[in-house]
Amino acid sequence: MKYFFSLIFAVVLLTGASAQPVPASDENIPYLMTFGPKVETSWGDDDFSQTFFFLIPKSFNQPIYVRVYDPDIGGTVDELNGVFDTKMTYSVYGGKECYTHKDAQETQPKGNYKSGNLLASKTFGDQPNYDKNWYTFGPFNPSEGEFVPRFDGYIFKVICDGISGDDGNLYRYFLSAKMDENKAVEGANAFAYEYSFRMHENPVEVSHIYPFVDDRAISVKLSNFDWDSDGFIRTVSVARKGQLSKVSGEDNWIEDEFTIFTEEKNTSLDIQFIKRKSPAVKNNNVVVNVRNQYGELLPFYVIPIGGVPKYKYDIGTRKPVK
Amino acid sequence: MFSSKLTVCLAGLILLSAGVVYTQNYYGVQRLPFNTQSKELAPAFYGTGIVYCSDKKNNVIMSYTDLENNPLTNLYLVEQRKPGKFDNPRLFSKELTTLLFEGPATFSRDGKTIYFTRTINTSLSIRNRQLEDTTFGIFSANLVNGQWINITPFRFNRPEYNTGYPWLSDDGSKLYFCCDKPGGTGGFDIYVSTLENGLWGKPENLGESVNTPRNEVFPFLHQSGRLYFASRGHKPGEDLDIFHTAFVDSAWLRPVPLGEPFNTDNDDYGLILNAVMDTGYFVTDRAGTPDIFMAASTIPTFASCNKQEENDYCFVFYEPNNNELDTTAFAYEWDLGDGTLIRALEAEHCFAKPDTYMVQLNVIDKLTKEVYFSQASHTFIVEQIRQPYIVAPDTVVAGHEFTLSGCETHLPDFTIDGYYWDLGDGQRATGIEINHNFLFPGTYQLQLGVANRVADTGELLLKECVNRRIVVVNPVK
Repeated sequence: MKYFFSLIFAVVLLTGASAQPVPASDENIPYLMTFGPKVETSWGDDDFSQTFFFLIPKSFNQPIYVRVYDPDIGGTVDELNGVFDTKMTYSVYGGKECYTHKDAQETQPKGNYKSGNLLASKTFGDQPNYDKNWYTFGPFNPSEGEFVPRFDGYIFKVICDGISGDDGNLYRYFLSAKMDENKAVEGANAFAYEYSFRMHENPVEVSHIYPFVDDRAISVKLSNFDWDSDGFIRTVSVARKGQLSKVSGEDNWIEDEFTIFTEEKNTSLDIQFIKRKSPAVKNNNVVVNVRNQYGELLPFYVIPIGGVPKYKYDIGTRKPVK
Repeated sequence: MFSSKLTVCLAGLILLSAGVVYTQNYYGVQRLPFNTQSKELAPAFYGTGIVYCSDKKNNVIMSYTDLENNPLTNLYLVEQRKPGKFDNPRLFSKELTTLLFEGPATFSRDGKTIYFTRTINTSLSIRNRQLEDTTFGIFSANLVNGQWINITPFRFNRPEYNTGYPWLSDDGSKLYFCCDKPGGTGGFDIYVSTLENGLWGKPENLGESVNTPRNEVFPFLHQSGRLYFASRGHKPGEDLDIFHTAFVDSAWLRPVPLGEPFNTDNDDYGLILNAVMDTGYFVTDRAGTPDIFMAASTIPTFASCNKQEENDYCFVFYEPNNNELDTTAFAYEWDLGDGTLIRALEAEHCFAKPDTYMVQLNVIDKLTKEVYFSQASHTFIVEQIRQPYIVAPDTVVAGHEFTLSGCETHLPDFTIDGYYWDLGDGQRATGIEINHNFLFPGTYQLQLGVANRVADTGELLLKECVNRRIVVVNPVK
């Protein structure tokens, strides 16, 4: 079974689409979100830190770059709380245990979550020259990442930590083969174990995240934080046409556990975030993670493994009851 | 052979318009082996055999002749060992046999009463063997301990004219006979007398719709209510032909001639048919002298027919993978391929006709308000039930012609060579579409059988049949 699991990831890495925008287009998430540590968690961030992992296929041997869009905390994109006084550090890690250390694969920035070799780091504040602009980390040799056999590729870890202040940092990543432009790294992907993001302001927009369910999953627990009851959180899969989950209110976590169908194993779930149409809620941030029955976190791939899951409708017929 | 329903229906209409659908076309006839060079005529059912008249020489009997030197007839019985296989004929009854004329006979249902035709004047001189007074009448007798006794003249016999050719209705309540008495329409007319308190009532002339100035003879009332008789007066020509009529709505219908193989240019008469009308006997001169021929239906018989099921093109469409965990409100829109759109979790719909429909499921997400078209599609074939199918009204009026059709028969694996109808009133017919006229009110069982045959031998290969009921009501006065 482990072999099958590895094979799935190997196939995704080698033949998958270019998956370097984070968030990716299928997710329809406008921005990642991390707040300064001085803010109340009721603003939507439970831990003021966000970790993403980038997978580089073993066969790719060109330099790679991690580019950050709007890395500063100020200007028009970010969320102001009083005055912009927040500092945020982006760090790129590679090498041994940058991914495989257990603390790296947790939701909270505790213990040795900064495991591995620090390859690059930069702190941003209110810097207009980076407002709506890109900052590039790298170049990195793919082999500077941690080689993980079951992915048959190298992993880099990028952490965005709130250092000071109380404003909200809204940003995106792009894993690029070029330093000064966004050029996809063929066969790459990215994932996180906890997703902190900003919702669209437009209530018709639906955001998605895609946790991958391996064949060990019997049930999963979907946790969401500070959804502010802004509409619905719904799970769609190849066997589930749309299951509503409990939604969190202001500044609290809520969990919803459900059984995994056989057809859902080794596929992705589509967790949809559907905003209430009226009254419209603005500046809504949400944090989400999913664990299996063992308490293990499920990875959210920005390009869902197996593609965006679609419920397979069918048509049955019978004679009417007379 | 037809490959499509449309072709079949069109072909049926062509056949109908060509006038091919006559019940009598579906009989085969054969001269029976006991016929002689003499006359054999006037068959009547008696047990499994036939009682008939013959003027053949009988050594035992010294016969008289009429004024034209024709020998007089006697009654004979021929037993039938199995269908179509007859023993040698013998005199029917010594008690009923005289030197005089014994002619056409009829029996009660139990076979214990006979009405027969005989010379009225029995006080003839034996020395004068050429009868001058051959006026005949109807007599009855009873079978008691194997002997025919109580020979009694019919109360309306008169020596001034002839009364004969009796036929007793199956229930024994009516006696049809022929008489050439003055006051009729001319020649022999058919009369009917009704049994009232044990006595035969005053005979009634059947009227000018049946009787003509020429002879009407050999009446035979079938259990179906149809009256068969022979006449020279209902169509041009000198020969006797067989006709049928029925008493409907207080009047006798216009007589209809039977076609071939019953009627020919020769004299054809004396037809009798069994209850299901698959076997009958009649007399014809087509071989030179009057002979008895057997008629047997060539229409296949069908047993163990299923009750016809009504075609029902109604279905419920649903999404079978619903699971109870789904709590989101989705709306389904069903595009049923015939222009019908139904918004419901399940769509119940009746298609107008058999066809192939592309059924599609559109899903409306009530949360996002998005419509996802054609989330599932299904080529749905609506078919008729596999069966022969009778198209006919549920209720018809007695005496009024209506059309029955088999053109909605659906047997896709079956090449139909013939449509065979049993109309439940003793009538049979063939053809994809026929016209029929029930004579009497009641509930009848229609049967439609279809068959295909081996091309070379005509042997039946496959047969399918259905039954359905039809109600016949009285006409509104």
